[in-house]
Amino acid sequence: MMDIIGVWLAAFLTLAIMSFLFGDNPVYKFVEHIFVGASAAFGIIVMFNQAIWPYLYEGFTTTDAFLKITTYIAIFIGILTLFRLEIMNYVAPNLTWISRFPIAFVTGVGTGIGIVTGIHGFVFPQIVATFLPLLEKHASAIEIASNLILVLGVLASLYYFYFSMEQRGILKGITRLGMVIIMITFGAAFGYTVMARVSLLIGRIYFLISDWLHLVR
Amino acid sequence: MQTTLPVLLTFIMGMFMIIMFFMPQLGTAESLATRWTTIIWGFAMALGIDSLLLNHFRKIRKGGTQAIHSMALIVAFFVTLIWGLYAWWRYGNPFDAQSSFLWMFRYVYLPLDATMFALLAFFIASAAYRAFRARSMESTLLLIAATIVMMGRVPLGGVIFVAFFIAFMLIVGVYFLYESTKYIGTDRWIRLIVGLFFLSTIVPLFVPSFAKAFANFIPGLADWIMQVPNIAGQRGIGLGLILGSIAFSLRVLFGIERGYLR
Amino acid sequence: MNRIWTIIEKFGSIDRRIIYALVFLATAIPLFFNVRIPMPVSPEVKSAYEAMDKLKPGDVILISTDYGPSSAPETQPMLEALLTHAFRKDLKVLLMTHWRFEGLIMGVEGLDKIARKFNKKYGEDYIVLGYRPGVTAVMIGMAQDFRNIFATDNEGKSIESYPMYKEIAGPDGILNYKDVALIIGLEAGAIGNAWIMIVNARYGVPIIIGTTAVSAPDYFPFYQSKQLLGMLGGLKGAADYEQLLNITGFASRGMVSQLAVHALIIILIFLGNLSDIARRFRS
Repeated sequence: MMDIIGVWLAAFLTLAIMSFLFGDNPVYKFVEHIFVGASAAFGIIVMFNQAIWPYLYEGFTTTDAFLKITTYIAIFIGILTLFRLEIMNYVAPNLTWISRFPIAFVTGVGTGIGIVTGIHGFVFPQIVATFLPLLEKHASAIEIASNLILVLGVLASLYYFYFSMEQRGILKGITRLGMVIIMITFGAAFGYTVMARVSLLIGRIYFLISDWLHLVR
Repeated sequence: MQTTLPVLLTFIMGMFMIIMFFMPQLGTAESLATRWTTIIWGFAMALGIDSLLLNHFRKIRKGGTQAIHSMALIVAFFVTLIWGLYAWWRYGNPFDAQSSFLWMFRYVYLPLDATMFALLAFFIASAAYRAFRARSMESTLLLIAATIVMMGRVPLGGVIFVAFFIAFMLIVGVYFLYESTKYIGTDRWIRLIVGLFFLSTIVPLFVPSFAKAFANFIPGLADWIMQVPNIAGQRGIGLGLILGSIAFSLRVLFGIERGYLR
Repeated sequence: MNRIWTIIEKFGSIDRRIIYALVFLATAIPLFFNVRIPMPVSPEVKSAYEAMDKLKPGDVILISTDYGPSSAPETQPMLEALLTHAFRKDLKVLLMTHWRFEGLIMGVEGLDKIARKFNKKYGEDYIVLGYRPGVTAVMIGMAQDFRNIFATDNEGKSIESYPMYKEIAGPDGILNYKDVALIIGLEAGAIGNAWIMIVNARYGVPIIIGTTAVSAPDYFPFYQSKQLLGMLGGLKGAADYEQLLNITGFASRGMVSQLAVHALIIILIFLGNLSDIARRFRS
């Protein structure tokens, strides 16, 4: 019974959002606000259930003294983040600077990881993968041509974004090649984007005609 | 002090994580730092939600038509929160399979989230129709690549592509033939030859085996576009992006960028 | 001739509501016919299938469902197809997410559905680790020991308490990336990049990515550089995988609608361009 009510409610909400196709209207706005409110509450629930409670529980139950102390210190530093809440501007406006410490901690860890990860995980492997054989004994003409296009394409598309020097003469030709490669890349990306958006619509329409109207099994 | 110490902390933690990358023997210290980050980030998830609620409380106080929508937001927030906390207390986990809270997710949150994005299919069709014009070589290239990829990634796409190809070449060929009637001499002959060339590309497609081969070629061509020029462009763009983000991260690390402290 | 140009020019001013209606019909009508048309399988999907197929019974796979309902029509069929393959091969499954409650619920729903089909038991054949915030910090934290980050599972119980833990953890009782044969990232955003750049580059764990079609072109460079063993991109990727497994799921069914809408969009673009040309020649 609850499932039937749920399906009808879901269908109503789906059609209410789809009413936006005919222009912004109060029904769409109302339902959109419900979505934002529910989403925020889900976020709070998952924050406590998945992000805070497991560590609190571990801190309480572990027998390892080092783990206990470090977990409690981390939770304390985490609570300092809450000084950034807007409500603290009214309650204790002089103390909001305290929240800078946990944010600085997290930012430092994130940027440190980001720097080494970017170089080790992307720059090096991608450059190595661009070193492709341009003349190989048993390779077909298509393979050789593809490798050539890939190597020249990477160099040309990188050079396309190089604005520190005036691009003229043969360099303009390389820029042109870079533009061609980038246009093909964007064309492929557009094709895939259309595919993605249409897939989402297929999912919703399938729900309406199958789960709601039972026109399709 | 209120700014200097946090900036110093950012630098210390950033350098610590970089050094840890080169010293895997000190993995325990690195694990501790990442564990602390996870715990602190958990509390940071609450940021912004109070701002959202306060903003809408103010709108309710102001009154007017917007107040009803803001009321809906606040009510939805508290109903969901109380329901979730009750389910957690009752089942030990708000997302338990038996929990009625999942009903809320399945029949309220899911259709709203999914439909918001599903609308984009309508908009992309309308926008493509209105704005996608092949006015230059670059935009024509983009259009051709998009068409090949879109048709190459669906079943029978090659067959449809052949139909489009025939229609397109027919229109262009007939156009040039018609235009040739308006000219005389060399100009006429040029247009006549170009028109006949476009029409001649259609002729082999009336041979079933050739048409079938051409149709089967399209998915392979789409694969080739994704595996070669797409990778070249994506790699070039990606390298630029990553180097830019590394440069920005270094600026944050050395305290030149301090926007995150505001 | 001017009259013909004027008529052709009108192709460029179709009302947007007619376009919306055409898109709706092109999507809906094919769904009424439960048709599955075979299509050539993309090479990157075939590689992903072969990577999974090479695993032996008892091998551990870690699936990260980093997507929400807004991407589910593409990635949920991938999850179900990959889990079908995994349970057919009696692999042990660990599920986690970086996508808050959305990824967690979508992942658990898909896992429960397929596990029931194969009579797999929680704690013996699969464990749901859950969600922890931090993305990159979580990935690095798991490198030493999964219990650093996931001391308890989604049910709130210690992961060591399950019989499966003792089977899959190393001889020292520590579970980390060394014990995982394959990581599968089902992505709606850029978290897949983090999996590849951190977990594969640093710890050498093989990875397969299943992603929405919007992000799929971005992952091809990783596939070419062999940082990815394989890739599933969009509904086509899911449909290809279903075809390789010989099952008809939502993805296979949706591909005919995909064909209809793609054809419609190309016709609309073509009409728009035709109208543009007609306007230029008339003036």
